[in-house]
Amino acid sequence: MVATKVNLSSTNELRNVVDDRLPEVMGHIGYEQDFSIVDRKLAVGYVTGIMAAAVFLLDKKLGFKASYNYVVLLLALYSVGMAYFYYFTSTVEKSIKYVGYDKKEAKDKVTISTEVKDKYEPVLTIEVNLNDKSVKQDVHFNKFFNETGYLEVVPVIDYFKLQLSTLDSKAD
Amino acid sequence: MTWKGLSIVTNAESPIVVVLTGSMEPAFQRGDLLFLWNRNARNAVGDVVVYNIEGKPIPIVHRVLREHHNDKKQFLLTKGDNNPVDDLGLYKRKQQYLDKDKDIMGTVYGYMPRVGYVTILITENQYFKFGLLGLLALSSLFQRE
Repeated sequence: MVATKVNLSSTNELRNVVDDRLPEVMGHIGYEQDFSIVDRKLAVGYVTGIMAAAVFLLDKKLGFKASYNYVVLLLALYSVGMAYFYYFTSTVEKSIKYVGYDKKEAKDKVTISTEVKDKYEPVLTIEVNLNDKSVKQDVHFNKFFNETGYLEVVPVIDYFKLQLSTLDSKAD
Repeated sequence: MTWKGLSIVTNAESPIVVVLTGSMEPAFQRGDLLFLWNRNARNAVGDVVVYNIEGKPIPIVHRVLREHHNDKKQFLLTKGDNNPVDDLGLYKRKQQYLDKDKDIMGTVYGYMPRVGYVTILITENQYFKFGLLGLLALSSLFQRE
């Protein structure tokens, strides 16, 4: 992946870069990304998008009065789809940025959530979840980024390695 | 889809319209934004309605001058406040009245002065249109989401 230079004053940008590089970092540690959350969001997005397109196409082809009933039906379905999407992003996905499975071990599942709680504080709240045991930590961005604004991948890898081994030892 | 939802709720094909001419001055000026409602059964004399004549591209906003109705239908004659004559000349050939159910797109229930001028600028000023498109393109290049 191409290294991107960030504006170090923007916590949003800093978090985005960390999120973007998570699959690469976890790949180094030996995990493979699982896309089921993204896939579900994409599916809902495509379906609602097609419904919206159908509404406008119907209106164009049939006119307002002839298409009225179809539009009402499609609007109802569309609101159901959007309600599900909202429910899914706010309660299921929340701030999950990465889901992955161990390439070797028998299906060790890792979920990583990241969040910036206060945008004026350069602190990233990271929650790592390994097989339903989790650790939550606040990490200062200067641990991960150098002064010029590039992400240092090695400390990030080390950080997640440490978290995972702590979680692993918790199990025993 | 919000637009479509609004048009279903108000039963108006285009629930928000922009005034394009000065024919309703001093009530409405060019660029005013009008909110329509089309679930009323009958219009009263004095209502401002938006109507669309079959085969004409642009809807017209004028005031109801006369109305005739029975329990099945209502016929309306309209006139712009700022026009010297009624709208007979604007209707189709040999059309003497507007049919409430067929021709009326909605009755004006609210307005916002001047806000609609943006759309007039976009449709009538090439430079403004391409400037705005350019800005959109630029912002999409520089923004992540």
